[in-house]
Amino acid sequence: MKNQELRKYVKRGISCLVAGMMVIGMAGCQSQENEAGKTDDSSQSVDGPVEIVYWNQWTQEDETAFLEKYIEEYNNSQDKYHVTFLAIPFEEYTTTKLATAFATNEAPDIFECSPAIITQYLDAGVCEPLDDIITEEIRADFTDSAFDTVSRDGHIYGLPLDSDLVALYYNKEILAEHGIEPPTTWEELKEAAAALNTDDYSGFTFEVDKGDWQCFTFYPFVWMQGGTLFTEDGMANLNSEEVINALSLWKDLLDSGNCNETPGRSVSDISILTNGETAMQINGSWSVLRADPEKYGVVPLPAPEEGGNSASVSGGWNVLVSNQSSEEEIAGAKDFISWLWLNVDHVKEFDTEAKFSYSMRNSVIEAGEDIYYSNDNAAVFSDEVISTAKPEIALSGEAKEIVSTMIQNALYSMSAKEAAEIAQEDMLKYQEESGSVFFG
Amino acid sequence: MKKKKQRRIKKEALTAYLMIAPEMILMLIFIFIPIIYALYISLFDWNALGTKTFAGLDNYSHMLDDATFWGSLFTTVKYAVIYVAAVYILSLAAAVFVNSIRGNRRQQACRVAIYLPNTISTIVAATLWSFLFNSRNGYINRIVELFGGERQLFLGSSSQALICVAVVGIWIAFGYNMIIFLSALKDVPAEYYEAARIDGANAVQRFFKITFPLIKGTSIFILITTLIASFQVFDQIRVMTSGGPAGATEVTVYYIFQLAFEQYRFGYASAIAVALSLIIMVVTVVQMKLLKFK
Repeated sequence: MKNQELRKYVKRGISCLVAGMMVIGMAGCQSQENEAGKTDDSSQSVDGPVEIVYWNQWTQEDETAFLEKYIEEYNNSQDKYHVTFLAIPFEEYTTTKLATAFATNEAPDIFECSPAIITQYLDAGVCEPLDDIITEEIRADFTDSAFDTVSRDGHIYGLPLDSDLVALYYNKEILAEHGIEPPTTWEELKEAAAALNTDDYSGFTFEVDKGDWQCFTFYPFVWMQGGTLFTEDGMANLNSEEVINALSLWKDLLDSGNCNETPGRSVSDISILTNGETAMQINGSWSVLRADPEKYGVVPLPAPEEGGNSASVSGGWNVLVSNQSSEEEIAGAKDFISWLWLNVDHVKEFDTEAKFSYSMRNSVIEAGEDIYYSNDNAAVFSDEVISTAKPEIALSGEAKEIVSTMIQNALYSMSAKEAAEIAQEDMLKYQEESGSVFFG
Repeated sequence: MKKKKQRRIKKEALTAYLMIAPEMILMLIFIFIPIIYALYISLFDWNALGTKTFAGLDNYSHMLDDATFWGSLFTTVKYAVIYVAAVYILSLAAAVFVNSIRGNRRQQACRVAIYLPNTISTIVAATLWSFLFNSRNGYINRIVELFGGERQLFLGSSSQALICVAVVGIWIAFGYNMIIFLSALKDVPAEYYEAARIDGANAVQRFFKITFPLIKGTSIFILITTLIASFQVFDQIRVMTSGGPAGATEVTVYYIFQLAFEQYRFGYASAIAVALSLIIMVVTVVQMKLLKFK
């Protein structure tokens, strides 16, 4: 009897819970519908301006200050749209935030992607073409390859905002103390790292942690030998001599014990050099304003041999519009992008005052000439590095994993050749299965 | 009379259900529904951005051929062995030591000191230990060099990184487990020890003949919970090594994270998550059976 009673109550309890869950579930669906179709209310613009949401990764103080200032100005300049923005730290932005926002139909109307992640978004078809705002005239003002990574099937989906370049930074005082000139060849780089290395600081720091940034800084070492990671028809070329040479160089440097084995943070952070943890560091143009030119110098990445070519890589952020947004939100997003990011003065201020990066737009480079030559380090990037830069390879998630694993394997667990052969096989298999092609 | 009793049972049951309802609802929303949803997603090829393509059991069959998955599982097991053994031995030793301290104040101070790391978030602890393990300026290497040892690479070495990562987990967890052991030790009647002492048993004999058998239930509880925790390690790996060098610390949970949030392969990541849950479940059941947990 007791058991029957209990069973009855357990059953009732479970049905109550299930009913409760259904109610909650329905409420959830309701709110999701509202989210997805938020435009149904807002697009009418009855109660006020259409809300436009803009997500990016510009979390440095000057960058957010710039955005706050101009977004406020835009909002005050008209009453049809109201833009809000959210700057999310890079690590979270590209991993957990943006993808899950799209997965749950809560994508921002405007967002930004670097070449490292843009392929996923373009392949998934979640972006709105921007051909109507990026007119022929505007397009002509950009560099030739500016729209390569943001184009699909004859349409332009993204507006290239900036271009970041990679070079070698060094501590002038430490090099002078040891009577060493900044290295210009791979051999000199190895010798300098050995001569400069001490117990307190490493001779040289490059990225040893797996990831997008490691791949980004690895590419130029292949390119400067005249090699590529992919053939002209877009297929894997990872076991080529040039890739193996570049892997061997990195491996030799790490094995020598003269490099920073545990940088403790991303090598994209110039503070490893400025905190005195290393004598030389691979870093980029974004640090020009953060490294005092009196104390720190910049040279192009060392060439394979004397008289050889250097190379660099250029990567940057592109502004995109989500096609999950309503027509009115898309119109608002485009209006805002045209107002803010197609204005030469705004872009110049952003690229040269809020931060330091190169625009792919010729008129911005001309307008910002003073800043691009404001100190010796800036001049090195402007005169010597920019002309040698090739665009970052826009890989898919799986392809990125194969390249990253190749670099890690070569650094830690096998010979450069073995790592390259395995990666070549994996990449070809993946490309054949998926039909993907990559260039660079 | 009977009706009255029935009504009382009814009322009591209702109160009980109402009391556990909030917890149950939260568990449903945040635990059971996501698990079921993960199971559902695992049957699809989905990059979170586009539409889901039904893939049946493809993700599961792919898992069988995926060397990285098996490698990550092996790394997880290695981590579990280091972590569970260390947490168990250290927390038991600490509990016995603290229990033997005479004087309430001193005992309390010692307990707090050992428990303290447990109050720190894993991210903060991992960052802190990254500095300590730094191969050049880290204090640990300074101490090693002081004793004439050679500079170690720690997080930069494929053979040492997993141990370094485990040290952080152990440092955080053993104080908490010590408290659980301590409460079990306090429940062992003092008379048993007195009787054993009269019979001439020494400290080691007393520990293995009295303490150890009487705290068996707690021991098993700690072994099971630490094993489950070890299979779920993520935070310190994210902060300290990002799974490197060369995958030396790439445990299965970290691999799932990489697949989902770096490669956007949510379907495949979910399939591995489901497999990992099953593995944890099976290991726990086997462990309970072996240790005769009641």
